[in-house]
This record gives sequence, structure tokens and C-alpha cells, in this order.
Amino acid sequence: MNPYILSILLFGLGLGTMTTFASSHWLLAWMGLEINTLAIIPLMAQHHHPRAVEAATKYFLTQAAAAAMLLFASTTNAWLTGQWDIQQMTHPLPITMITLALALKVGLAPLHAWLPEVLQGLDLSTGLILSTWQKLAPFSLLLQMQTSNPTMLILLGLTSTLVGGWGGLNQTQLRKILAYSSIAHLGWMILVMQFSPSLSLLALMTYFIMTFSAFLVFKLNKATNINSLASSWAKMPVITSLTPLILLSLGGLPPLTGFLPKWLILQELAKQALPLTATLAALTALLSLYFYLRLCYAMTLTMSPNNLVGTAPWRLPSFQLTLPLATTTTMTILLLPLAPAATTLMTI
Amino acid sequence: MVYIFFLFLFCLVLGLAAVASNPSPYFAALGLVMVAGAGCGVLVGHGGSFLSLVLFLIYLGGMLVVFAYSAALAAEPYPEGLGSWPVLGVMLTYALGAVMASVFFWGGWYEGSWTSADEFVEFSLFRGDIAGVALMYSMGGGILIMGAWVLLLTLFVVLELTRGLSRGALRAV
Repeated sequence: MNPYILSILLFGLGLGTMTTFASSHWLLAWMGLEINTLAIIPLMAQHHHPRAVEAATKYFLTQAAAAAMLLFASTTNAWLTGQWDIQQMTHPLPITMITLALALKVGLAPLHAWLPEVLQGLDLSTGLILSTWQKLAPFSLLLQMQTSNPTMLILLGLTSTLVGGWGGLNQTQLRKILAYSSIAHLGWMILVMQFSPSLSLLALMTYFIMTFSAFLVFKLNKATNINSLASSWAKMPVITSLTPLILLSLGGLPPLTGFLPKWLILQELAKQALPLTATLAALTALLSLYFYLRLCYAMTLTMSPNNLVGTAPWRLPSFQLTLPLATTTTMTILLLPLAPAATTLMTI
Repeated sequence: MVYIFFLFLFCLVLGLAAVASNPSPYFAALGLVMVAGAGCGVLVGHGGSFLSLVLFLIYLGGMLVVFAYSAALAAEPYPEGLGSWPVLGVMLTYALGAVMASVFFWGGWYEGSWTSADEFVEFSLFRGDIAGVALMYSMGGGILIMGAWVLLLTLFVVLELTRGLSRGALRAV
């Protein structure tokens, strides 16, 4: 893409998220969300093949519907309560509508159906932007929302972890697996949001780091399905040996970083006298762990049959930057002992 | 004045039924013109003359014109308007549905009558939205600048999406 256009679009992405962060008025928050949607559409369709254009179209339709519902709910709130402040919402109807609109924006179950298909049509870099940066703005609005319906948030969370685990079980395409992983992690975040927003933010930040590493590993391997991962041991042995740790961190296994948010969330749910919710959430996380383990198995734990030429290829230097991957991989694996510092950093 | 409001709202509902009855895009655009015109009339009567003018200019004069040109590109050999029975039948069904809904939800005699609360309608200089418009341009100036930037961004987005001849899923224009 023309570098000037690319920089304008990336600037638009930054502007949209920052506008939503800085807003206390619902119209401004909506404006930031729309800027984000607009700016990422050409990035999605930049390769101009029909699958990418289909993904861009589906993304635009769902996000526009969610933004329209958000605008409608804020106008209803203005009618019912006479003010537009985000943090002063009192009437349950607009609160519920806005929560559902933001759930559609972010891809929580049962409003998740667009996410695997959209992510599948994108290349891995744009998919990374979609999975991480585009979640920041709606998430900031969700954090500021008053809770009028505790049951709905818990249902959204549990359905998301269940759908994220169950839906990812039959996938062989890596981008769809990452989409279902995103749904499951967002489920954990929204589960604890009404009890401890800082834990929710911690879960979001650790999810960003872990999924950043996963996307970059797949991008280095130029792999989009599980079979392509099977030959990575010959091309990049060190990355191949570290990737199971990244994937198991995504699955939430101690002593890796991914265990931290799940542990603290389960503790918070138990403190709030919701033991059944905590048990269900932990059990549904097992489903996700299964497909992460399947990825580890295919990539590292087994060496698939290959011809002799394929077992010792030239290891040429890659043109892709590997410093971000190194940083985030270290953080994905080793951040658990820094748990007290991590929890105090997330002050909401 | 109340009678003019009633006429405007009647045209609004009819125009909406005409749009929803699935005609060809040219005739749907005509229905939209009627809807926007009627809505603007109601707005003016409630003191929103600036908003009504802006709506006419931008919605009808900008967006609808662009839509009409784009619809003309996708030329239909046999466009169906209100003259063809499938469209007219659906429109009459919707209008009938609106009448039945109003009969069902209409309250007593007091709900069906309007009293005009603003007696200086034709003689007042300051309409209801003057203070809001002044505020939008003074304290809200930064947001307007950002709005202009976002419009420029939208232009770049559209140009980038339709770039090139027959690439992707858009036709070779």
C-alpha cells in the first residue's frame, strides 16, 4: 500500500482509540469507535482478493450495526436521564443496550459469529491489529459502564469461555483458532469486570502480550494452518521449542503468565460467593487448553515425516523484525513471579 | 399549524412505506426525499431550523445525489416503482399495518389532539437551536475540526477501497 495512505490509516486508528479514551460524552466515544472502524477497513482489504474483501465487508456491517445500537442507546439515555455522561448512567435499559452493543463490537458470545470468519480472511498482521488494538476502545467503555444487570455480564462471560473453547476444538486453520482464543479470553475479562475492573484490565494486557507472541510466531513461520507448523522445527528450532510455552500460557497453565489472570479472577469470583461460576469458567478453560495442546503437539512434541532435504534447510536471516517477538515471548513466559507488581500497575 | 404537522407526519409514514416496499433504488430514493422533506418540516416547526437546513443540504443535496449517481451506474433494464403490483401491494400492506398500529395504540381523545404551545411561531427571531449551534461552533470547534479530518479520512478510505481497475470485488470503473 502507498506509504502515505498507510500512515494516514494508522494515524486514524490511533486517533480513534485515543478519542474514545479521552471522552466522557457518548457522542465523542461513538465518534472514536467509528473512526477506528473506518480506518481499518482498507487495511483489511489491502490485498484485494475476494476473501479479504468479504472479511472487510462483514467487519464493516457488524461494527456499523454495533455503533448504530450504541448511538441509539446513548440517545435513549439522553432522553430518559437528560445527560450524556458515560460515567453517570443510571437507567437499566440504555446500560443493557450499550453493553450488548459493545459485546458485538468486541466479539463476545453470543455475538461472536463474525470474528472467526473475519479473522480468517485477513493476513496475520492485520489480524493482530484486529485482535489487540481494536479491542482497546470498546473495552475502555465497558470498564466505565455501570452494572445494571449482573447476571447478563456473567452469562456473557461464561458463554464466551464455553463457545471459545468448544468452537476452537474442530479448527485446523490457525487464524480461526486465534479467533476462538480471543472470544474465550474476552469471556474471562467480562466475567470479572463488575467485581474488579483492574483484574479485567490485567487480563486484557496479558492477553495482548500472549496473543502478540502467538501471531508473530505464526507470521515468522508463514503458517496459516496446523500442517504448515509441522515443518517449523527444521527452519527455526529455538522458536519451535519456545512456542509450546507461549501456547500453554494462552491456555492458562501455571507457572506461565497466562495463569495469572485466571488465578486472580477465580479468586475474586470465590470471594464474591460465586463458586459455581468459578468452577464453570475453569472447566471451560480446559476446552481451550486442549486445542492449544494440539498445536504444541503438531509443532514441537512430534516431528512429522519429511523428506531428507526438508530436514536441514538453509537457515537464512529473516527480514522480519524479531525483537518484538523476543520481548513479548519473554513476558509471556516469565511474568508470573511479578504478579504483585502487575496487579498494582492496573489501577482503575 | 397543527394541521401542517399532521400532513408532514402523514407524508413521513407514507414515504417510509414506499421505501420499505422494495422498489428499484431510483424510486426508493424518491421515497427518501419525501421522508427527509417531511422530517425537516417537523423539525422546523419545533425550532430546529438550522438542523433542518443542514439536513436538507447534506443528506438530500449531498448523500442522496451521490447515491442516485451510484444507482444510475448499476442500470436496471426494468425498474419497478409504485406502478407495478408487487411493490404497490407491499406498500399498501405496510400503510395498512401503520394504520392498524395507530388504531391499536391510540389512547383517548386527549392523546389524539395537539395544542400549539408556541404562539409566536412566524414572528420569533431566535429559534430553539440557535444557542446550541453557537455552542457547537465556539466550544465545540475542536470536534468540528476533528470531524473534518475524519471526512478526509473517509475519502482516503473509499479511494483506497476502490483503487485500481477490476481488482477485488468492485467492478472495473
